[in-house]
Amino acid sequence: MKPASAAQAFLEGVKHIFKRTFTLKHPYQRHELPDGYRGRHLLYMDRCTGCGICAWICPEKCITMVHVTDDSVYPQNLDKRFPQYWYIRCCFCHFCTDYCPRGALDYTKDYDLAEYEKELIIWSPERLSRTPVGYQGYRTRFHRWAGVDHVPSTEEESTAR
Amino acid sequence: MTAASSSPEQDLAAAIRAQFGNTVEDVKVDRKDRVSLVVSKDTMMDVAAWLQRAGFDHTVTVSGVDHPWENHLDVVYFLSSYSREDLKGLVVSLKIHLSRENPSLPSLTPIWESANFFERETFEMFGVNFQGHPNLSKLLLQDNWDGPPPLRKDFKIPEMA
Amino acid sequence: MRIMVKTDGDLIVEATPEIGYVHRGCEKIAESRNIIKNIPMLERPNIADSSHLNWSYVAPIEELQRVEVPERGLHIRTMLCEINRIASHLYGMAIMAGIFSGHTTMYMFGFGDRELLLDLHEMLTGARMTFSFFVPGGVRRDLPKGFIEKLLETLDYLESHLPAIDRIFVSNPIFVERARGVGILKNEDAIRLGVVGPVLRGSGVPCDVRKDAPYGVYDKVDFEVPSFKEGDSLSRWRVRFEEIKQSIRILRQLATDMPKGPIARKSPLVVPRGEAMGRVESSRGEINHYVVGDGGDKPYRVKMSTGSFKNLAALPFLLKGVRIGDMPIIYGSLDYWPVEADR
Repeated sequence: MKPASAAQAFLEGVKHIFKRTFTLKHPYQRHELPDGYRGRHLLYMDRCTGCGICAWICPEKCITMVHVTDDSVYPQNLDKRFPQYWYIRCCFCHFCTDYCPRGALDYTKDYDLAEYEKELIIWSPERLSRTPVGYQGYRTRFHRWAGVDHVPSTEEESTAR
Repeated sequence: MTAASSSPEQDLAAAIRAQFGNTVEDVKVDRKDRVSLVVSKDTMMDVAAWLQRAGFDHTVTVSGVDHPWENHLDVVYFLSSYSREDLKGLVVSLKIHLSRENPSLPSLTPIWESANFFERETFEMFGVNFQGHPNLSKLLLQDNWDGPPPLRKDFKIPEMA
Repeated sequence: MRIMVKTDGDLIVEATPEIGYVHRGCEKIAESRNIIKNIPMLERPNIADSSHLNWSYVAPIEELQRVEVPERGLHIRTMLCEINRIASHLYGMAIMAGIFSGHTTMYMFGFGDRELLLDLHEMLTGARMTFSFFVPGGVRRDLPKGFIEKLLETLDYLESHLPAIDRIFVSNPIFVERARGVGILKNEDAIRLGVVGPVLRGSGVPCDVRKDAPYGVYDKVDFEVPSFKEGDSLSRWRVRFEEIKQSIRILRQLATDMPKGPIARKSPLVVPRGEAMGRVESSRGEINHYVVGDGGDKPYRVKMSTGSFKNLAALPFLLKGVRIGDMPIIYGSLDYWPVEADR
């Protein structure tokens, strides 16, 4: 019967008024990322030898090997050449992470990489080696009600340069 | 030779050799479900008509390959069948060698209409003229493109430096 | 793409598609990058269904290098491709019934259920849509802990939600009136025009590369190829709907018997001299990659032929003689992905 099946379709939709939604209130609630998620790269400077395989394999040519001039000691790397990433070109394929012969690159869960200035999108090796911060919540008055985990205070910078 | 070959690709290769003899060259069965042969511009219509009667009813794809160092340009047709059960998984490839200056050959669109858009793309990318094609005009490139055919090896893009 | 239409009142007399707006020259760029660097570029023409493009590119390279993928690697490849097929069909059905015919319910159902599948992708490969997961010789990562349980949970949820989609769309006269009898592609026209995928199976030709020329582990699992003989837009929609059910069936079989062993074999970074063609059935049709090698580490020529490009032949044929109001449904039922057609 035509009106009956049209009404059945309508009732199917009405059922959803009483169902629980699974919308996440981003940026107040976060989505749990699995291990091995492909975010930005983490560089272990004491393992890197400066061989440049990551720069060679990168499909988008976004890695350049630069010299680090500060006075730290990296016994593996006598040249002090480390990778520098230009994230606007990176397609996050992580071939560099898989091809590194010393395991000096790693996966992180940082994906909030937007910047206001174009120069800041180039990540120096020193910045790449900082501990990943994960998701950064926003500070508004809805936090406690919405159930946010970590909120940086105004004193600490939410993303250090 | 030894026991009768029972696979469909061997049977087809034997039938082609028996029917056409010396006018087709290089009838090969490299692996399971693939038959490849090389024809010349003059005999290609007869071979195509014979293959259509044998049950191959559509083209899978048509491609051009440029060999400047061996001074020829190839056009390869791949054919398969939807209606015959024993030929469904088989792909026959028909290769034609052409010269690199003003390459032209008869179009196979009157026999297989599915080759229409593929021949248009090969025309604009390699500069091959298909005689008898209903509408040989640009498909993917812009209308005011005035450069050489892009997929030839003498057209270099900046990344190739 | 742009469709130039000549009309006589409300009826379309002639329709010409103009494509090429997203042509990026993938085939030309592929000649200047080595085989590993080509993988992220050549899988991006179809981001909703990228694992099939990836498999069709590495398969002829493995054939030329004579490298055999181990059993566990083939299982993981097939599993990822089937999850990707369900996600891509939900996308296509959401666009056709949701956007082009104005029922946003299907759009929300399709994209909402697809999120669970994207979570599965993320758990296995690390990325939601373009994974770059297959390399010549095998796959990049093994199954993480807890993946099979999460996969079975997702399949249970999908199976419980599919009858709702059926009630709202396939049995609902409002949608059926829009799609039944519209854009009929007869059996012999489908074969003559050389269309592929659900467009072909919706016209009564039960051809599927997974059954005709099996690759991966498709010859060891038990599934059917749905096809309907009416050839209208509703039957093309129903083919996709039934294929989701068959994919769920395949995934259940793959989840229960995973072989142990390595996931990849070593493969050299050269493309040996010769030529080979890969054939893979994606959600929009058959994908072929014709790779010519010359002994170096860059392929000499890569020709990509995708399902959307082959189905383009059907569009001017189907649009002749229909009313303008039926055009969105016909275009949506072909599930045309412009980037895949233009490369």
